[in-house]
Amino acid sequence: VRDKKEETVMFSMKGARIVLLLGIVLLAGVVHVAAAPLLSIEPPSQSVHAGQSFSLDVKITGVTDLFAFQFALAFTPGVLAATSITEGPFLARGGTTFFIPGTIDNAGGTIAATGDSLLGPLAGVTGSGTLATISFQALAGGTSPLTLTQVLLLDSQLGEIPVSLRAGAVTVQPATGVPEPRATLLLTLSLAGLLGGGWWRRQRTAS
Amino acid sequence: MHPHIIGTHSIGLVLLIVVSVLAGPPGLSISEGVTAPQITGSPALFPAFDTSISDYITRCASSPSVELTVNAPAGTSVSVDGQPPRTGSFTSIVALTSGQSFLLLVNTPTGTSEHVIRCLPSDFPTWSTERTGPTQAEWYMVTPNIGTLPPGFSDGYVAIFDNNGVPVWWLQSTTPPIDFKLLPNGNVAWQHAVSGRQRFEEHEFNGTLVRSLIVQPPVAVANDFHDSQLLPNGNYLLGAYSPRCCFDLSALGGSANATILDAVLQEVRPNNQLVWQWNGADVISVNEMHPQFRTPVNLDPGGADVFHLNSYEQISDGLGDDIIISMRHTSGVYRIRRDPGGADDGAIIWKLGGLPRPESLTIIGDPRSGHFVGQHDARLHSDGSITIHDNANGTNLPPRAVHYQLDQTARTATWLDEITDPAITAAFCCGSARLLPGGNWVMGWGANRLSTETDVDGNRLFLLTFDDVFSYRTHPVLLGDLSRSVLLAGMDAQFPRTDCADLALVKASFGKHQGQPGFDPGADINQDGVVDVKDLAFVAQHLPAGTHCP
Repeated sequence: VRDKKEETVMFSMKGARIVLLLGIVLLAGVVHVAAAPLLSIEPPSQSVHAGQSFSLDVKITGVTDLFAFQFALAFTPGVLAATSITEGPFLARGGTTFFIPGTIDNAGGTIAATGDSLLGPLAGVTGSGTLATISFQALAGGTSPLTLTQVLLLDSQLGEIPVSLRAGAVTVQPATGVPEPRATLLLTLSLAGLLGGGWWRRQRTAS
Repeated sequence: MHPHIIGTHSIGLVLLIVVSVLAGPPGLSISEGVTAPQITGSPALFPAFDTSISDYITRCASSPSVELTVNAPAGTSVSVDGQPPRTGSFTSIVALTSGQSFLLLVNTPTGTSEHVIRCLPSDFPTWSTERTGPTQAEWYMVTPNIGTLPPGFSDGYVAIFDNNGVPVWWLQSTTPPIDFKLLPNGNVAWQHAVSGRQRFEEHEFNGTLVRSLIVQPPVAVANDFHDSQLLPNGNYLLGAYSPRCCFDLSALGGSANATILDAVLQEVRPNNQLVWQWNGADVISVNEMHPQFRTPVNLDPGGADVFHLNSYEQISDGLGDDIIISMRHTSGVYRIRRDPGGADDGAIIWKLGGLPRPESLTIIGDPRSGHFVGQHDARLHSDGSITIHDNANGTNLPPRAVHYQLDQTARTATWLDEITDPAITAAFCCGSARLLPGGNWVMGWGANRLSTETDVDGNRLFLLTFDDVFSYRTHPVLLGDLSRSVLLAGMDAQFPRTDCADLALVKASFGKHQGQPGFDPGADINQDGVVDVKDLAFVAQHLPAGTHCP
C-alpha cells in the first residue's frame, strides 16, 4: 500500500532531523543554560504597623508555558492574620482559569492549597507576572517570615516546571498613635473631682 | 419507506439535502396540529436534524462549543444536554471537544426520541454520502488513509459509519491502520501498515489495547498487513512476506538467483506463541506468477514479490478446517490444507483462477474468458460458493464482484453472478466484495474512494465516498451484530465528558491527602494519594477552551 522506498526516505529524514535537533540542543547547552523561573513574594520585605491592612503578591518571573500552579504559604501567627487570597492577572493571559484560593489557618499561620489552572487544551503562559495577591492584617509587633511551600508548576503537557523560590518577610511595628493616659493621672483627676464635688455641695448648703 | 439522504461533509461546510419520506421535511405534522421541532447547529449538524435520525456529528474541534437553535412548536419540547425540556424558540450552547457528545431528547405527542450529537475531530478525512434505499448492513468499517490527504488531516483513523453515512465510532491510531474489522469476540482489530511498526492490534471499543501480535521466528520480518483472523480456537491467523533465497525467476524475466518474498501464514496463540506455519513457496511455484504482474518492480532480485498474499481466512465446511488464500500476483485463489502434523499439511487442495496447475478448478460460465486478475478478498461461504473482488488488472474491463458456486468434488467453479458500478472503470489495487445473507453486496471499490451497498442487481443503495483517500477494505456489519449502545459507550469512554462539576469535585478535595477527612478518591485523578494541581490541571485541560466555571 505504501511505497517502501518512500517510507525509508521519510524515516531517514526524520533521523536526520533528530540528529540536527540533538546538535542544536547540545550547542545550546554549551552556550546557555536556561535559569529556572523564580517564584517570589513581592515585595520581599516590608514594614507595617500593628492594626494595618496590607497585601503582597506571589509573583512568577521567567516562566515558560505555565498551565497551572499551586502553592502554600507559611507566616507567623499572632503577628499576621491572612484575610483573603485573590487570583493575579498572569495566568488568565492564556485564557479562562479556575482559581482555588486555598484555606486560611490564622491559628496555625498557613494558607494551604492555593491552586489555579487554565481551562481547556491551551498553551501555557510565558513571561512574568502576579499569580496571586494575599491580604493580611498586622496584629502585633514582630517579624513574620513569608515562606512558600508545596509549590508545583505545570506546563501545558502537565509536566512539572522546576522553579526557584524566594521567601519574603514582614515586620510589624507596634502602634505609635495618641499616648494612653497613665493610671495615676486618672486617679488624681478622679480624686480631684470627688473633692471638688463635696466642696460645691457644702457651699450650696451654707447659702 | 426509508429516508433518502444525500450529503457532503467537508471542513466547515456541510451541504445536505434531506428528503425524508418517513419523517417528512421540517415542519411536517407529526400528529394532529403538531409539527416536529426544528433544530440546527453551529457548527452545522451532519446530517441535518430529523427526528428519525439518531446520530449526528459536528466538526467542532476548532470551536469550544456547539450552539443549537431550537424551534419546538406547542405540543413538543426539547431537552438539550440534560437541561429541562423547553418549548418555543431558544438557543443552547454546549461546551464540547473532539469525540465528546451530548444528548438531545425530543418530546412530541407520539413519544420521545433520543439523538446523540458528537464532535468530530478537525483532522478526520472528509467524505460525502448518499442513501437511496434500505440497506442490509447497519455499519461499515473503514480505514480512510490510502492516498494523499490535505495538510491537517490524519491518516490514522479507523471508523465505523452508520447507514446514514455518519461516523458513530472512531479511534485514532498511532500509525495508518489497514483491514479494520469486528472480531467474533466483540472486539475490533486492525493491522498497522507502516514499515517497521507492522503489527496486529486488538482493541475494545473503549479504546483499550487488548493485545498486539506479531509473526514469530523463523520468520524474520514483521506482519503482512493485508488480513488477519481470530480463529474459533482463540488463536490468531497472521501473514508475512518473508524473504527467501534462492529462486530462478528467469522464466518470468527476472534474476536466475533471486530472493523472493514468500507468502507465510502463521497461527499464533494470544500470547504470541507460534502454533503453526505455512510457507507458500513450498507448494506454489514462482512460475505461477501471472504475466500481468511480471514487472521489474515485482521481480526485484532483492525481494521479488511473486505471490503477494492479500487475503487469508480459515474455513470449516465439513471437508476440513482449511485456509482460503488469495494471491494478487498469481491471480489465483487457493485452498490450503491445514492439518498440523499430517502428511498433507499445507498442500494445495484446489486453485481457482490464474495459471493452471493440477489442482485447478474448471471455471464454467464466466462471461470474462480471462476470469479474474489481481483479485482481492476471496471469501468462501457456507453454501460452498465463493466471492471475489476482481480488480481485472490489464483486462480493459471494469472491476467487479464475482460469485462462483464451487463443486469441490467435481472440481468446478460455476459463475453465478457479478456486479459492477458505472462509476468504477479500474482499480489498480485493493478492494473488498462482501455478499450479505440478504443478497446485497457491500463493496470497497479499491483505489476509487468509493464504498457501496448495492442490491442483487448492482443498484446502489448506499454510497460512502472519501474526498481524498480510500479505505483498503470496507467491512459490513449486519443489523443486530453490533449494537449502537456498545459503540456509543465506547466513544464516551474514549472521550469522557468533563464539565465544571468535575472541577468542583477536585476543588472540594484540593490539598487533601489519602486518609485525611475530605479526601475524595474520585478527585485523585492520577491516584497518587493526594488531590493537587496535577489532578486539577488534568481535568481543566479536558474542558473546552473558553469554559467558565464558577
